[in-house]
Amino acid sequence: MGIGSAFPPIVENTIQLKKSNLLIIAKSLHDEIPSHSQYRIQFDPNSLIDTNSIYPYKNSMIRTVIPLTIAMMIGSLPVASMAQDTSGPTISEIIKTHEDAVEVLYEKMRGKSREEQQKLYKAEYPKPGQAIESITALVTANPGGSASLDGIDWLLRYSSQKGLDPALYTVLETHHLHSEKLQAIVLKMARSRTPETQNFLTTVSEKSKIKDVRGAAILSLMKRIERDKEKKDEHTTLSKKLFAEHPDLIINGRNVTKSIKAKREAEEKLAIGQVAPEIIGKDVDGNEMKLSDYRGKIVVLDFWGDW
Amino acid sequence: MYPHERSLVARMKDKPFTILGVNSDSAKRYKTAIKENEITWPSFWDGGKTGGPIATDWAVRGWPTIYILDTEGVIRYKNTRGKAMDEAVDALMEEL
Repeated sequence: MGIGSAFPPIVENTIQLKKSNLLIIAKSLHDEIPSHSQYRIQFDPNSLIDTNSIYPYKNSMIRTVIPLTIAMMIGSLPVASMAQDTSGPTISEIIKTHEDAVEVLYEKMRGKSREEQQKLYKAEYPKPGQAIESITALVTANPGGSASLDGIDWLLRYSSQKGLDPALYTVLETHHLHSEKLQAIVLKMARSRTPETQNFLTTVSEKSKIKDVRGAAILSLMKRIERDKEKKDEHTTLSKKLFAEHPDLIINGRNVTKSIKAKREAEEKLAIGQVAPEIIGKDVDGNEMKLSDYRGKIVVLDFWGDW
Repeated sequence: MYPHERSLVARMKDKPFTILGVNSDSAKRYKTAIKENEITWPSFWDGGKTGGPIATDWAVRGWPTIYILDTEGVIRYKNTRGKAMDEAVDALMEEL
């Protein structure tokens, strides 16, 4: 008797739901990473649960994925079963229909070669256009409901750099400025380059009554310009504000302010012209090695992995 | 990657030069990789994962990450690859 038969079908469904959420998160991470970057996220429905297939994000990603997955499951179950007295589908029903279609595609990709998977993904990933339109209309019709926040959160997954429909920023500002759920939404806005996004994030960073939402808005304002050399001064101003007002901003269990500070200090320490920090370590057989043992030689220091 | 590094090592034979790796693979994978790819230069082994202590100290978030140090241990180039790496090493060699 196989292990699988010991589980009732409902458990199998639960596992699939988790897997599809993981994939969706992996997809959105993937989209967030510019194609020219060295970071890579691998998609493989069969091995995604195996942490070795998620690199080099594997440690940080797992920490993010688990709470997100749980949050999404808790969030989606009661909503999906609640009866609504409107004639058309609700926001959560539209989202579910779309994600079920995505899950069907992932089922189809299972067990195929990487090339076939990529081909299928490109050709058959369900077009979200209709769902985007319907959800935007529903949010606009009932802007104050909590479902409208879930809808906007989902819309941001597909809006990437274009940002949201401008009317939705008004919805958020008018009805949800002081909601804790706005944090996840402003964090997703780091990808958008539009002036509407910038204005909205600035408003949130100044006016939301929830401190961690204000902090997240500052963080997103920083992220969207961190690679823009012309906006270095703006970035510095924002980071000063973040350090002063939010010295311990926690996002997904991680102290973001501290890690930004640490990263900055590391960058200064590792700038061209600085003496390289000493490395004291071991080779794979446990023999001690030091970087300074190689003084007198030109050293190409190569952080590598065979993946 | 490996063929280029091998040719650079061959070209710099008998010169004050080394590639020094910081490897983030599992021990097993590392040992297979050096055998299969004829990697002759030494590497620190960073604990078998990408968030190892050395990579963390050096704020490495993408692999590979390259630093080129002169004979005094001063960081002179960052993330130069391929031809640019050869030119950087040649330029440092000229200084000697």
